[in-house]
Amino acid sequence: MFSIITIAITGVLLLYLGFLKNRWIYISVAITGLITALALSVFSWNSLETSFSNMLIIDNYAIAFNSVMIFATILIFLLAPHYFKGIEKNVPEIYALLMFSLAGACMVTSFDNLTMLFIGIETMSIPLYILAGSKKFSIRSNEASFKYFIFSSLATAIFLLGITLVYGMVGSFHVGDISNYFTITKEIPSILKVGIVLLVISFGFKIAAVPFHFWAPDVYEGSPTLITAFMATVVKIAGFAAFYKLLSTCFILVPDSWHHLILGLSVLSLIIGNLAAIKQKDVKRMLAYSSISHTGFMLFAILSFNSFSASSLLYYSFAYALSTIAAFGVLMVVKNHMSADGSVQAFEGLAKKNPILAIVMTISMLSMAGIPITAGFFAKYYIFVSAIQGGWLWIVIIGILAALVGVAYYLKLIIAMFAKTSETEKIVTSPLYITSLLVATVLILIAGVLPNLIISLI
Amino acid sequence: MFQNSWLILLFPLLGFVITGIFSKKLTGKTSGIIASLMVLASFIYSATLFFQLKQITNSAISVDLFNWINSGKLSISFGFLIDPLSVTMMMIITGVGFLIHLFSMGYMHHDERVNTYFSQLNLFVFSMLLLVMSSNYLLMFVGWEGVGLCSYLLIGFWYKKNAFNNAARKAFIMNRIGDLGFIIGLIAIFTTFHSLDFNTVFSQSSHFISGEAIITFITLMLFVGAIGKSAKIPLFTWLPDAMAGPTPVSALIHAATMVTAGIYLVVRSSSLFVLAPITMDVILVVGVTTALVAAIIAVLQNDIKKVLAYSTVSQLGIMFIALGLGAFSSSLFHVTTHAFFKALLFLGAGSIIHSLQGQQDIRLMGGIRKSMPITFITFFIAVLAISGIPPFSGFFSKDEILAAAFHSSPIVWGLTVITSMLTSFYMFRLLFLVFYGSYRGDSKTFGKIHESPKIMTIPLIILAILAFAGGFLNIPVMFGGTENFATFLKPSITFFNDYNFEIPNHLNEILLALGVLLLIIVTIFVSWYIFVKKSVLPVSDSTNRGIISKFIYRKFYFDEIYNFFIIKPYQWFAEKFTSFIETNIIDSIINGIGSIVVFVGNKARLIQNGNIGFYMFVMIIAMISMIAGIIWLK
Amino acid sequence: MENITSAIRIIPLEHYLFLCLALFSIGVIGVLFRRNTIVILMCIEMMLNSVNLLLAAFSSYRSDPSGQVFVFFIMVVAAAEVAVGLSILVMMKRNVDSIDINLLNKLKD
Repeated sequence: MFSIITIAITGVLLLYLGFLKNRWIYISVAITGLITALALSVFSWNSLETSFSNMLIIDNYAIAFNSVMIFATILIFLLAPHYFKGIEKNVPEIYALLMFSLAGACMVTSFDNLTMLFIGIETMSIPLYILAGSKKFSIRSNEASFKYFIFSSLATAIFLLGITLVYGMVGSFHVGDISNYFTITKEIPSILKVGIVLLVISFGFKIAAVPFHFWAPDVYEGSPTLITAFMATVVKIAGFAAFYKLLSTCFILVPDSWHHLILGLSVLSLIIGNLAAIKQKDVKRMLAYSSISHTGFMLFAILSFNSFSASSLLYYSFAYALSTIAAFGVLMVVKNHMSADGSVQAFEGLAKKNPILAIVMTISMLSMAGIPITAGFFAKYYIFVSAIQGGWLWIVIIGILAALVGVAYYLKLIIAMFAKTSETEKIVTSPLYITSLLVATVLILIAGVLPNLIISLI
Repeated sequence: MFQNSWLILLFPLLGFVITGIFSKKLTGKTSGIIASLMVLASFIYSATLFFQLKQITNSAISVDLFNWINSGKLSISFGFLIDPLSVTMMMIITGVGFLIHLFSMGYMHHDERVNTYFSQLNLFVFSMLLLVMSSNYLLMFVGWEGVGLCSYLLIGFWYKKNAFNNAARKAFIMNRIGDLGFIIGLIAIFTTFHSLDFNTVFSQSSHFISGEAIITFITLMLFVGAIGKSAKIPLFTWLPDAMAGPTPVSALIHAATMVTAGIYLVVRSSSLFVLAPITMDVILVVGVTTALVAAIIAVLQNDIKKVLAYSTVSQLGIMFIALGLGAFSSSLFHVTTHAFFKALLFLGAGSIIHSLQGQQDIRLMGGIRKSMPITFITFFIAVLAISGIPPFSGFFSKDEILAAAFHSSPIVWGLTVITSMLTSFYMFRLLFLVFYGSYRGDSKTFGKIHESPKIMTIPLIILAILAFAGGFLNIPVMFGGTENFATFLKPSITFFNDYNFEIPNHLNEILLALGVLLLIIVTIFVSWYIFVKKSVLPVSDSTNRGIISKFIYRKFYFDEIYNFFIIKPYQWFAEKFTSFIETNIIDSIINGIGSIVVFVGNKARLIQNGNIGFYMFVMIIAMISMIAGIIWLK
Repeated sequence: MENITSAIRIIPLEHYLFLCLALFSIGVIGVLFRRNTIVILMCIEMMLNSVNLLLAAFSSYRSDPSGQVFVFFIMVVAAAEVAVGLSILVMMKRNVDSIDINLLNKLKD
């Protein structure tokens, strides 16, 4: 609870600090606030806490996901000063909006009442509409912003209709009451089923699962890269944490009404995400499609509810967040410094003059592809084990095939960086920037060698 | 103290990282000093552990650092097992390893990649320590693979020569064949015991009766792993080729430590092996054949390192004889003394090669004892030790094995004695040809022969002292000793129920030892007569040899047999596969799949046309069909 | 208050349901087919408000106030959303001098 409040207060503080016009103050305040929030979150481990008349429940599940998200945000903030170098206007506002969005994300993981879920999702999304369009004079940024806004609003409307139908049948927004309803009632009215389906669909929008993924590649491409990194990590993880929690607490007893949907979303995401990623020339779009394929993998955890799936989802989120931030971090500087378009060609010969960036990118790609001794390997391994335990062998086979296809496009980038001989210039980055990338990379390796540090948490 | 034993692993790892990362910045001397100090630190820590361990009675300490892998039934901790067995191995690895690091600083100082060399050597020490310290089979396997990798890297260290690369690859492939056995063994252990932890597996093994099929299978598979790593017939041909690496590497990896990993594996799993008499017989047979064959081959070799390599294979064979007889501690004792004197022999050979500017052919040496006195004396001590002359260390360790062999089977004893005689024959042949007589090489270079620098001779001297005194670790009862070494090791090892630790009649044993000694002295005399008195020289390669001599000189045609029966057919198949199946069938399937993937990918991209209305339309269609589907289903 | 609740209950719940679903569908169709972004925004508002109406109906039929409280939350959030949506429109208008949705197709494969 205090961790969420800290984040929100830091956001407000940042707005006022904008008068000082000193970008080092913004960033130090933001990082301090985030670290405090992370510490508060970690220290409340094992202390179950409910607030706002039981609308918010902060248990270990929520703390674990919140910590991952806050940590990811810290890494993103470390990248920010370099990214916004030379841009003086509106930087504190962007920081503040990121903070507000993070506060919403933290609420989403810890809801105990659908009202709170709704408020959390909106608190998370509304700042992002603005952030996606924060390059005010870029038409592409405008378009990304508007697309994100329109699809998110549609998802919200669908989500609300779903909640309303559930409320109409159950008579409560409270998670406990809803799950009680299903233990009592044997015959479920079909209007309630429609409500559940609508909820699943709206989450399908949020986590960009095929066929509700259309907005994602366009929005990811058009938004400022830093914001894309935030959307691809924090927002997605929050969406998954909430989705998992919603289905596992409210609707676990009526799997008939959503199981097939998840199955379809998962398989389609794996296939379309990977196939579309292969032919992408733009690295940012490629990462967007790769993110869609990761959605397919992460849905396995929801598919196979068992004692193991929550921790496998957490591990996957952690591995995915680190790899994504590292990849976007490298992409950002390559795109800015080469006066390039961020296509695969821009990465050619990167290893010659910028070995650190190339290594960070390589490890991040290997992790996304799921090669051993990176976190991505165990992420896929655990999620597959969880699915096999749930009896979904055939879908695991599809997953493995999809992962194989995935290796192709991740390797394409690695090969471009190391094998191609064209010369690149030396890219100058700030120490903070490199720190963030290296922390992410080292953690990928540590988590890849010692998966138990995370997998045994929840 | 025990809790922090991970420090022993950390030092060499740190050395590897430092010398590896700064390989462009450090001078060769600095990286040598760093690498050596790291190993020395590990040695000191291991020695402290050793003395602490001696004081406590329950001398097997498990140190679990953390839970390493946890999924389903498989739960493996990252932990160490510190007991007499592992501490002994740790002391050998770090002690001998340190001396060899020192020697390398002199031997390698002119090499341009000396930093890489030291970092790889440190990585080897780390992996080897991991192998012997781990408390479960999986972690051990990580170390097992690590030493294989380092061995591969260091054999091919001078990678610019193609032959060396081939040798490295050969070593790697043969090791891999063994590893396959090891992996199968691991899986079988896990399915049988539901654990890979040493303590759990060994405590459960008492539920099995002797000769049970699954245990026999497990032990046979583990033994296949040991065959590969310890260079036994039929997978021994890689070790002589491995001499392509720098000589100190041969001393450390291919004589003193890595090749004994197979023995360590068997001794560590002794409680499984004693339940499998069939496996033990297999080990015995393989050990005897390897010892004899390698000794015979060594007699006619002319490359100083090849002689030593075959001698290593032969000595490893003797250790396996001891294992096959159930005399585990004797085997380990021989591992220890062998580590001393064989490392000494290799370093001595290194010192000679260094001084002769890379000359390795003993036909072109001779008479250099005056110019290199320290190398000569230390080499002489090592030869005495390996030949089994009392009171040098080899005598005690070999004598124990011979005694055990005599008790179980006279044939094994006889063959082992023959091996020992051959050993002393070829070792003295080597000694005489290298140090006695007159110099046969290019007369211009003779004046340049000089004693090696101190950094190289000091390790020689220390090893010589150990090779001399190593035997006193375990003086048998018959000579008034107390068998300290065996007693120390006893808690880590499971013996056969009827295995007799004490041999009742000491007189018999003494007589036996004296008889063997007499035979060996006669052999040495014969060797002296042939190579010093008569100055017989090995024939040059162009001379025609008799059939038997040729047979032996060509190493029993092992390489040729493998070449003819395995490699050639394999290549033939591979060629046919590429020309027919690969290009016609597999390629078209792969290309077909590839083009389908690309085609569908292109189509999938077409959907993404940027038009919001179109996106909405698809999504809403999907939504409606989902709702309809769910209602329809009920 | 009692009067209002009972007044609401005069009309059967199904009718509210059908009305709201119809309104919602009109909103969806509007978002689908209209090209003017302001109209699209209005359609989204209509969808949200149809949900509000339905919530109020359910709430009074179940005599449970939480549904009506939820309506307030939705109204607040919808206001925020519209504020942001309109500002995005203004930004767009400045850059491309049009609010036609079909102009937004620069981002595609």
